[in-house]
Amino acid sequence: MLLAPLLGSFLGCPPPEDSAGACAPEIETFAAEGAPITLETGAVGLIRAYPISLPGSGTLKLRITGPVEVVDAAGSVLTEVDAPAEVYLRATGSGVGQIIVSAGRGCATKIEVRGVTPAPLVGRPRWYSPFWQSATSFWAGESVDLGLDPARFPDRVGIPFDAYVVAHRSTETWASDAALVGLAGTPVEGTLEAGILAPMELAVLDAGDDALGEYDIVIDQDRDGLLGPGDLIQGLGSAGITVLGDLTQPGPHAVETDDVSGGWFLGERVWWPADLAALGPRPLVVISHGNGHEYIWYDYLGEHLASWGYVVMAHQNNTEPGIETASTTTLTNTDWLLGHLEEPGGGALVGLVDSTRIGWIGHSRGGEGIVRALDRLVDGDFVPDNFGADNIRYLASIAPTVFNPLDDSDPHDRPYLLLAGTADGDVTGGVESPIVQFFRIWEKGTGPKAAAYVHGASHNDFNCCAAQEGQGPSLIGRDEAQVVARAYMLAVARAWLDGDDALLDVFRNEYAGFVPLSFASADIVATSWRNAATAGDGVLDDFQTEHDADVSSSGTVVTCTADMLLEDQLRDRDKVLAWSEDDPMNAMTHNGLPGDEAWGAVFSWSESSAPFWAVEVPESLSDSTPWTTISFSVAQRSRHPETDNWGGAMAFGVTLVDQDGVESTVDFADQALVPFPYARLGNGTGRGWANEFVTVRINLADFTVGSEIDLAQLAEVRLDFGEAHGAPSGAVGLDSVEFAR
Amino acid sequence: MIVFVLGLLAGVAGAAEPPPVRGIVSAVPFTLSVPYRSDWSAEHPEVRSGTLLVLDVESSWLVLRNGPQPVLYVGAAPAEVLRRDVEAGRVVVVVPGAIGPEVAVFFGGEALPETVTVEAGKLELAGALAGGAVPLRVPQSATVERVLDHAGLWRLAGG
Repeated sequence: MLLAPLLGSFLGCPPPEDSAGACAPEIETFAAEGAPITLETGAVGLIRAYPISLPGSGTLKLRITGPVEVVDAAGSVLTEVDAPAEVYLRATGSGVGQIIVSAGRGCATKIEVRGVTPAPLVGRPRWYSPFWQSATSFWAGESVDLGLDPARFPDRVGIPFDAYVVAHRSTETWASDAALVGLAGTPVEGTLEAGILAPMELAVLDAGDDALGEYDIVIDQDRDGLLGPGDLIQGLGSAGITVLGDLTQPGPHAVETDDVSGGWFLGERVWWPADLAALGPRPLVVISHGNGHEYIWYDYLGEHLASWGYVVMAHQNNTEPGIETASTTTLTNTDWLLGHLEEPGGGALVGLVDSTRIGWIGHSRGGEGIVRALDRLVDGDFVPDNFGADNIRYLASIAPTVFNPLDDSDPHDRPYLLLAGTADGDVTGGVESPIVQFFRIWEKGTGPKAAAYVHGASHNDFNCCAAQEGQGPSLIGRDEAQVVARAYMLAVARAWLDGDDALLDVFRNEYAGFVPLSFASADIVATSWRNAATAGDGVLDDFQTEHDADVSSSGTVVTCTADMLLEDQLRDRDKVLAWSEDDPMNAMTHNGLPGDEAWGAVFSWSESSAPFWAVEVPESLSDSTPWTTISFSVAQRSRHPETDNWGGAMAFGVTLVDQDGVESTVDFADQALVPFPYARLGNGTGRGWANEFVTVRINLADFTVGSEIDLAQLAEVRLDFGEAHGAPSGAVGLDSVEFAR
Repeated sequence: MIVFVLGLLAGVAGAAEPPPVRGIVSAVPFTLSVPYRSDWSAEHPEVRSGTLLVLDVESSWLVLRNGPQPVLYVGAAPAEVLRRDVEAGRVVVVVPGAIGPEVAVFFGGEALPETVTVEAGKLELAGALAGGAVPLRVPQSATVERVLDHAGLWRLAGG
């Protein structure tokens, strides 16, 4: 029944040597003639299984090699079949396999299969090679395009299908309800054409009231309106795609607020959703201000987060003596509120604050104070009555100081956000002092971490009322800086308090290609992302060990044809921003003092050269299929002559090479991938401030578009620079080259 | 007393010339019923009694920053700042224990007060005096204010 519309296409592979011509068992499937069958791994029951029909008669033996199995409709694995029968193929892993169906007497037919890791079916057309970017997250109102690659699915070429966008369902729900209910004008009929991947506009989606729409994408190959064998799905397990709404706008909840005080340095302003009672217990977000700031200066954040369903509290912060006292008031205020929920709003919070889910936001000295507070909790140096270290789910520092040794101001394994402005005139982020080098704290953390370094934002843009001190050109002003802050602070609160992980794509995706809704078109943000140290990334070269620049941290050979390759600590040695060949790590701020641990590499190139940096893939990582992306961090080097020669945002190409020498390149061409350093004056001659690392993550699946590259047998990862790849001259810093999920 | 201190804070700042600390406007001895440990130096000395000083300071030195900033010393110890009025150039500080008829009040090196040790404070004082800092006369007061606790001290300062 299922196969009925699709039958009639004989498998066209030549019979094996022991076959006996016309006696070979007949096999029917919808596969295009002569093409091996592509099986996506991760089958659940018959979802992602592939139907074949054996219409003959008699007992057929199945000889199976490679990562494939044959099952019946009940999912039982078969080694022989009584024809006629309908059976199903499932991939048990990546790689090539075959099934020989034998009727005895030397009569057999062979089915060739290829197991592949599921890859996104949708994405965005791009103007750079391979002119396609697969994706799992989109902005509301953005076109979601279907991108089936004929090289990936040669068996489906020429066969019509219906493409659906459906509301996301759990695996269990799919198993019990396979009916496809199309949204946003789907299903859309299509046919996979031979040749190159041809994007097909599928739908424009909204994000819903909570700014996070979750959808699944289904290719209904047999066009029966059901998700079944032979169909493709993006979304089995977790949502296939997420559509993000405008994170800068108020959420769906009205907000109430109250000012309360428990005494000396226990003054607090509290915001909460007016319908909190209906929501039930919600997480708490605490805001710790900076030195010379006031706790009543963060209404923009308190109101915003409360409108999205969080209880928010800003408190008096004892920052003037130092970080220890600031950390104390973060701790005591958090504890006091949780112990006095009857105080705000006449008891509106009683029983409605989830003290097991707390986020701490801190600004400036308060931004370091929250990190120190966590360290004291972890060390048992401070024991609150109403919460514990495990209840602090994330830290978010706005332009934090780094007065303490990093062992004392240590984010540990907590998710961590760093938000700062390049025009900061107080905690400058510059090279003059390790105390103002906030990326040092970011480097110290071992949990998942995000950073957003905002061009033209000042220190005090992030509160309402402190005197403006911004330095540099194109200041974006308080209003725009707070637009940016609202979006990023909401993203991490929802991700790290409520599990809405997709919102972290605002950091994981390159900014230039994924600008949040309502950000000004002129905004430039250098975003970084790094997985937790325990995430199991496949590190090719993080420069933390094997400090010979020709050897990667994974012990393999590094080849670089650029100029002046150097591997060193990411620390500006002379504390002056003017370029000097004696200080090749000029403008680096991720490592400020002996004992700091961040290392990286730098190199440069001049016009008329076409340099590359390449790392050999160790055997242990040659099978990249356990990961989904290749990831690395790149910065243009501030005030370097070759950076200034180019004078703009830059791009480059990324090439994977497999063990057979097959290459595939994602070439960003003129994409503004790595921003030109913020053109701030001061601390020596030239223009430019701290080097701004951005994280670039490319879906590994994008390298297979139109390519025969074998991601299970990679030999080399290469970064290509020069005029053909977006910047005829340049100077970059490089860090954390790895396969990641 | 609140009115008294507020009145001092409302005073007109003097000329904006160095040294940044131009004088001691007022001194109010106090005793505490409930002592507290000061967070304004590394040793966290216990404060049982002392003197509130109202200082006349060049306004620009009173603007708080978050990055490294010079520490205000009274003698060899960082001053615990209870209140500041930047515009008026006035700051109210706590000096624990006894205070003599004159004391050096100056801005030392950049640090967090909570990290300044006794030894470091002595070096700062010696450096300031060697650099020409002139001890300031401490106005005398016959009245000793009896205050309950740290928060009461803060209220006494006009907080």
